[in-house]
Amino acid sequence: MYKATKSLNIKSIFDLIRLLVRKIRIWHVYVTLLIPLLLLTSDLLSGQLGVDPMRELEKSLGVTGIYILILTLCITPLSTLTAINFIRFRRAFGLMSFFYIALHFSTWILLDMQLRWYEIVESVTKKPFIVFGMMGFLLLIPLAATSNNYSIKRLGKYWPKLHKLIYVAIILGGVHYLMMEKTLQNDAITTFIIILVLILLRFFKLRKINWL
Amino acid sequence: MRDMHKKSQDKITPKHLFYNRRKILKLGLALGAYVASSRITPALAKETFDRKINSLEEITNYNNFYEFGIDKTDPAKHAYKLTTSPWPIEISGLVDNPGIYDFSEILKEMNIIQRTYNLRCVEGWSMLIPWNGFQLSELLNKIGVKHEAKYVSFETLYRPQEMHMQETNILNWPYREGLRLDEAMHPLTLIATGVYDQPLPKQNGAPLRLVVPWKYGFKSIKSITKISAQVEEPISSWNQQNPAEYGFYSNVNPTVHHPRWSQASERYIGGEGEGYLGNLFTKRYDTKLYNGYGDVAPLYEGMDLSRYY
Repeated sequence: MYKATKSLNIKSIFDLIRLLVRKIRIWHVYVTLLIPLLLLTSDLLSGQLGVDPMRELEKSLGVTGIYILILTLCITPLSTLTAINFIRFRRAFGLMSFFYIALHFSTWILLDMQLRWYEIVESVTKKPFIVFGMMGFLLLIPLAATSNNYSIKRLGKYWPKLHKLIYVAIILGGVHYLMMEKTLQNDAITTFIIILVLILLRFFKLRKINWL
Repeated sequence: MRDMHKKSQDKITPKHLFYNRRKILKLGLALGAYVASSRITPALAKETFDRKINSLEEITNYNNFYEFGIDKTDPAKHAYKLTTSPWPIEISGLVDNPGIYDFSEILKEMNIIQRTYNLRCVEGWSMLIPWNGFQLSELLNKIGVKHEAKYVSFETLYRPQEMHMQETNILNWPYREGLRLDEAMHPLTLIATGVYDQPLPKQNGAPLRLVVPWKYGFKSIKSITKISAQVEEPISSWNQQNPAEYGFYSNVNPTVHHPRWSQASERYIGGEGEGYLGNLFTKRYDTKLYNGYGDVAPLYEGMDLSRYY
């Protein structure tokens, strides 16, 4: 009796969540995902980014990009396991992660490398840390460019295949993060493990959890 | 120690001038020439006045001191835990006067000078820092290095209770560094005991640290407790951790490729403009061989610098 009530409660909570998710508009997602940028800007203007704001800005933009990319990868398993359906927001998540990573890349080119093309070319060709990051970013470009209804129609059965590149891109991004400092950092290791788990989930046939 | 620094303050550029960097620049050539001739090593005098000297706030809030954390702001947060008095220093190996000396005893004997050096980190950034301290050669002459000795090795304090990262294995603790004897004896090689005429802040390596301005920053070992003269090449912690990226010599050299960061140029922390936004626009400068300290070139004559990096 007790057990039954409990599962009923959890179920009703999840029903409520599912109901609320249905009420979310796509623009809500875009606006919400702009909050990290607003916070970063306010930190920058109030001096919270410390002695070397460029470095903090560059790092935060990149890390935010990777986190949103991770959220993008969570959408399918979340929907399968819990029937909380975010799939119609997947494009918003994907495009916003690209937006942050593009800002991260621009910060690197403009504020960090300061358009020193010789060193930029040397870095993207010879320095593994940069090579991984650069390849990840390049792979995201066709994905962002085809994240629209026209491309989905036009590419047909090739569209899902093309968009599987997200797995390669996110691994490259995770490796890039791991290589950032002289030694491994816990945050980068945790991020990489989450990425691996999300990719491994794709190899299992997931089913909806009954008691949810 | 405090007395020592107080005394030296009278002779060195008053602190308020340092704090007001803009003013120094505006005071122009007269003061510039005075400061350059009396305080700043000639090789760097010109360099120095192309950039402003970093503020104490910048110098104490942007540190690599992995004993206290990997992030640049970690040392400022955690280094207060370090006990720096008493500070015994073990002097051993091929020396005439081995023994354990307290830092305060050593400091009393030394001639405290002021040197403003460019600190060039292997990560591709740099800062201009007004150190106080003494020439390492003065200490080595006092302890008497035997003629068989070829190298000097240094060790940072090992005290995991106060340096929490020493409980992890990100490096093989304690941090170790070394110099060839002729590098150690070079007049540019400094043991810093202060910055801006104050005792060295803990996050900068209190109470005493090495400063070798023509080498990447990690050679300038902090919070030293052991100094030894020896025949064999000393262990260098980063070389031990990743020999492909960090050599024993680690001389600043824009032409020696590094697999992670460009060494052709450096971002000068502190920026060009005023305030927080000014610091966002740090300026890149071309990195110079030996960090611009060409005086040391004879030390490496005939050496293949790409092999002995």
